[in-house]
Amino acid sequence: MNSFQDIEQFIQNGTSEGIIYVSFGSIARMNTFSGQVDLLDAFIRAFRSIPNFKILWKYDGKEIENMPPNVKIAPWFPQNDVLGKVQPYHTNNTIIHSITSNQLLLMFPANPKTKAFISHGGHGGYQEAVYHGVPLVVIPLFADQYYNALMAEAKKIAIMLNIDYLTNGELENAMQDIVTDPRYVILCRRKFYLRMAQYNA
Amino acid sequence: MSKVFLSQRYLIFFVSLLLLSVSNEVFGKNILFFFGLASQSHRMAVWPLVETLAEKGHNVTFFFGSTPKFTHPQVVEFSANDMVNFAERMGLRDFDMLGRRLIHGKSNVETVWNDFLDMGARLCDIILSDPNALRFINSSHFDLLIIDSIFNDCGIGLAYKFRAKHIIYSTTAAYMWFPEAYGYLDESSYYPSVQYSYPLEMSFYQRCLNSLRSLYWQFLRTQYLFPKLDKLFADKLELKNMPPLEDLEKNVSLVFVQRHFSEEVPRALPPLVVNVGGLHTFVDAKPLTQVSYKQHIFLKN
Repeated sequence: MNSFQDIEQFIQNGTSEGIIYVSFGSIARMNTFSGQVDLLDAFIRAFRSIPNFKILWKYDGKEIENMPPNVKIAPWFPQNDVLGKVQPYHTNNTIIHSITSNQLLLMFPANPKTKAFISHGGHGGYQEAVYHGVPLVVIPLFADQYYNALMAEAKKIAIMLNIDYLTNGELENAMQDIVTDPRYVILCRRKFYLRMAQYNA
Repeated sequence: MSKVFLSQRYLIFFVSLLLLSVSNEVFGKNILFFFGLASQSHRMAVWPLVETLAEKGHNVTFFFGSTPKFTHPQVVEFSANDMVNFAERMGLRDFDMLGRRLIHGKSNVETVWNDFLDMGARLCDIILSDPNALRFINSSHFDLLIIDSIFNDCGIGLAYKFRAKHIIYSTTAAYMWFPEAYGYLDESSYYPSVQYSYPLEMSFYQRCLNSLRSLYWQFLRTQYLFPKLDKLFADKLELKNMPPLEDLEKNVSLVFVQRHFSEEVPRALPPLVVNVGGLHTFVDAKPLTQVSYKQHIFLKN
């Protein structure tokens, strides 16, 4: 509960153009990640290059000294809610949708909205992103993640990056593209309509 | 005559009343979710189904090969914590996929499926030799098993032990052995498969390899994994007359695949295979009538 309040405060304080959520899933170890100096550097640099966005990062590796102020780390985020509840679906500015817990309802007020999801291409996250209309930057690591990333890229709702070549500013460019180009969001939402049209039929 | 008729009517009335009053207990089934070789994300993916079944009055038990991060008061848990040294024996303590990817590159990570295959065999060995797990198996009865599809084939043997039906649940797209195992059209010669990272437009070489790999995986399962499991069941549970797992798995009731054509390629599936893509994203969106309302909001924006 406490950490959720932290997140809420972090989102509330100051102004921002939106939120970018970063997660590498439950299997990839962030200790290994933070052991790779180049990789960690590439991420920190990319986060610093977009100071007007707030970044939520699922990270539990070793402590980072020069963390940019627009980044909030936590060992776990309610992912489905971070992607979806940041802008609750409401009428007359009253929140009406049901939610798993009241804390989450309080946590994300209507104003800021998740603009992008930087993901390892895990299947759960991919589906949540499609459901909530959040385009992805996918950096696949193993197992079915390459397939998911390829599919997301083929559907034009994601930019796929290779983790081996992140060092030369590619992550910055991809993040800029994904938050500025509205086509990604539109196509992402079309996927949502397609599914709902079928499931509601 | 009319008196007899009247009393018969009363009898029918009271019997139906009696049936209605006990119906809840009659229909509540014992359901086991067998997610032995599964990560937190697999649990997350199936959890709405677990909760819904439990809330509908079924006795749901969740067998999970890791430490549960969230629980439900009506769901009985049997997890890795209830078994002796489960994570060490499974080799999960030093299972660092990110490290392997960064140090040895992409081609090394593609062999992860072979590791999972070995883990599947190990899982069954651990379960059937663990005193707590054996006590759990011998003291419970289940009517339905929902089994995670990724080499949790131990569950199929358990389903036979309980004389229960089983449903296969894939938390990602259909794996390469599905067409061969459940008898439907194999599309691996023109669509990429979930286990290997081929592009949508495959080259001729990739098409050949992809088709052969589809057969190769079912071959590995039936010739490498299943004989091991068959032997374990015969030795440890003393199921001497158990049919081979290869036959038992063909007796599958349903195959749930957590995909949807809107997010991957459209595949030709038989009625047996049900697409349940995005199940876990609907947790806050039920009932579905509210979802169409959300659609409306989206359109307005």
